[in-house]
Order: sequence, then C-alpha cells, then structure tokens
Amino acid sequence: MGNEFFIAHPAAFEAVVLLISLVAGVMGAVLGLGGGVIVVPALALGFGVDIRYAVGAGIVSAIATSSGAAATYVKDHITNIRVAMLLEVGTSIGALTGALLAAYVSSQFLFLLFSALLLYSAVTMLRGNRQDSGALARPPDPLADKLRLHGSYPDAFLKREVSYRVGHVKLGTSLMFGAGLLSALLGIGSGSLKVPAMDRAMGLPIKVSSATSNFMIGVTAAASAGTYFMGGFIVPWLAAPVALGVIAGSWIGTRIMVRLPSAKLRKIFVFVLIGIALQMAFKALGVKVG
Amino acid sequence: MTITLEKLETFLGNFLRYGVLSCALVIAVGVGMSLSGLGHGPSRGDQLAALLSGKTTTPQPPLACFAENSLGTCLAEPDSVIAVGILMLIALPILRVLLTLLVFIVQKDRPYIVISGIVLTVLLFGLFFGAGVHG
Repeated sequence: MGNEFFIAHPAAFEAVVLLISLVAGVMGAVLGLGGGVIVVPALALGFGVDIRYAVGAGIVSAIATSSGAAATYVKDHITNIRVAMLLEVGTSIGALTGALLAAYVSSQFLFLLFSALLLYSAVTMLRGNRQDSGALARPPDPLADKLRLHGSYPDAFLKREVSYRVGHVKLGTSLMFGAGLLSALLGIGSGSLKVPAMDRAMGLPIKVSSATSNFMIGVTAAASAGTYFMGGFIVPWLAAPVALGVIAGSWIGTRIMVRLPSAKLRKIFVFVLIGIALQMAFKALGVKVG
Repeated sequence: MTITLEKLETFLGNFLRYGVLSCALVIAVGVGMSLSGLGHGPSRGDQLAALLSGKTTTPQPPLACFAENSLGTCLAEPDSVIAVGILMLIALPILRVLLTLLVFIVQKDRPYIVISGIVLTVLLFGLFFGAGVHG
C-alpha cells in the first residue's frame, strides 16, 4: 500500500485509521468484540506497523468499544451485570498473567496464536448453528441459582421479553481465564472467545452474550493496558483516531444490534472471524498479502 | 437503602456514557492541536515513517513529559493531551468496577462484594505492576 503517500500526508493516515476504527466500532458493538480483531490486523497487515504497537492500539479500541457500547446495552437491560462481574474474575487474572508473558513471546507466535484463536471461535459458532442456543436445555447449576445469575432481556426483534437460565458456571469462568490470557497477548478484548463461551457453554442468548461480552472486554483490556501504556506501546497519535473512530462506531453499532435477528448476527460473526484468521495465518507463514 | 438492579443499570449506563464522551473530548482537543500545528518534537511524517517501517523503535513512555516539565508545558503538547485522554479511557472500566463494588457494599450483597473486590484488586495490581515493570 502507498505508505510513502501517508508519510507525506500524516493527516490522511489518521483519517484512514479513523474510518477503519469506525467500522471496527460498529462491528464490535454488534458482535460483542473489542474491535481489536479488525484494528490489529488492519494496522499490522495493511500498514506494516510492528504488531506490538498494533496490539497497543487494539487495547485502546477494546476499552473504547466496551465503554461506548456498554453504556447503551446496560441501560437497555440486555447486559447481565452479575454474570459479567463473576466472569471478570477469570478474565482479569488471565489478562494479568498474559501481560507478564507478553515480553517473552515472538511476533510470529502471536500471529499464529491470533489466527488459531479466531478459527477456533468461528468453528464453535458454526457448530451451534441453531436459532438461539439460549433455548437449549442446560443441566441445572446450583451455583447459578445461588449467585442469582439467571435473567431476561427485552428483544426488539422478537418484540417480547426473553428469559433464560444460566448453566456451567465453573466451566464458563475457567474459559474466561484463557480468554483473558490471550486478550493480553493479542490486544483484543477477546470477545471472539467470550461470546462463544457464554453462548455455547453457559447458555446465554446470543444478544445477552454479545452485550455482556461488550461490558466485560473493557475490564479485560484495562487489566493489561497499564503494562502497554507505561511501556510506551500505546502511541498517542495512533491511539487517538482509533479511540475516536471506535467510540463513534460503537454508538452506531448498538442502534443496529438490538434490531437484528439472532441467527443473522451469528452468521456475520462467523464470516468475520474466518476472514481475519486466514489473513493472520498467511502473515505468520510469511505469505505476502495485500 | 435499597438499590434495584434496574437503578444500578441506569447509573452505570450514564457513568459510562458521560465518561466516554469526556475522554473523546480530551482526545479530540489533542488531535485538533496536532492538526493546527502546535507542539514540538519530530515531525509527524518522520514518526509515521518509523512506525510504518515495521521496525521496533524505542518505545516512548507517553507521560514522560509530565515527569520532567511543568504541567503547562506538557498541556501545550498535543501528544501529552491525547495521552491524558487515553489514560482516562483506561481508567473508565476500573472506575466502573469500583462503583459496582460500592453499590454491592450498600446492598450488603456479600458474594458480589467478594467477586467485585477480587476483580478490582487484580486490575489495580495490573496497573501498578505494569508501571513497575517498565517505568
């Protein structure tokens, strides 16, 4: 791509990053992602930015999407705050572990890990290609009763209140440790892992999973953000258009998400994941892309 | 004093909304300063050239300015203003956890006091340990 052009016109570069981040914000808010799965590959693959700086920008994107989208979802009563608080125990401990490991792993390994993670998430989402897994029976979980995790949310597409019961609390929390770990290594809110874990393992409806994931990714990203920020891997003039674009995009995304049918939401998710995973794998294996 | 889950949701929703808007405002001011050509240091083109070359340059601690110069000097630098906005953004989810913890304490909701207490501890540890590792 025309990097010489951007070096001569830095404002044009910031404008392009702003636009990419706007798209990332919309997708992130709709799908429960941090937007990092779009921002990180765009910077690292599209522009050749060192992956550690791209990851720093991804962390900013995750926090911005999360706070921007969560504001709306929480007010609309879609987010399950109790589930989020509980699972954040797993993600934040995982993220702290990951941030400490980050200095010891190679860029190539990070690329491969990133693409493996995305493919895995895509496959889990495809396997459960039913209308809404929240309707599936889960064995009753006494821990979920004790912690009052069950809930309901207003579905604007179905035009009614949908109630659901939560299962596999311990499994869900353990999966979140892994999500937090990868999140810190890869600069993503790891919504691509959180949504499948809540959707598949714990039996939350896809919209509740997305909204709750959105609520959580800010905290996951914040757990490792300190390390990246103090280390200088968050470049202010790169992070600025990312933050502004993502905040605007996430606001637009929340308006779209509630009105989408769940099956369509899941399908979009899978295609986005597979596309990005392939790009990252090519990059890791040294194939030229773009 | 009782706080319903619904009230907590509205409260947290408002906190996040105005929090994000404040961060965006500070960052936008920094970007505006940068576009209008304020500030010193290497040109944006040179910085961009280094970043896009993919070479790992020496990372610059974002708040280094504040350690060495007066507040006024730093607030005249676009990058320092943006860095403050980014730091506010990072603080937002941590404050959100703190607020939730306070609400659970008021509600005397013991399991959730423990849960949010653990999360907050880990987050603060991450922030200060992060500073310790690189600072």
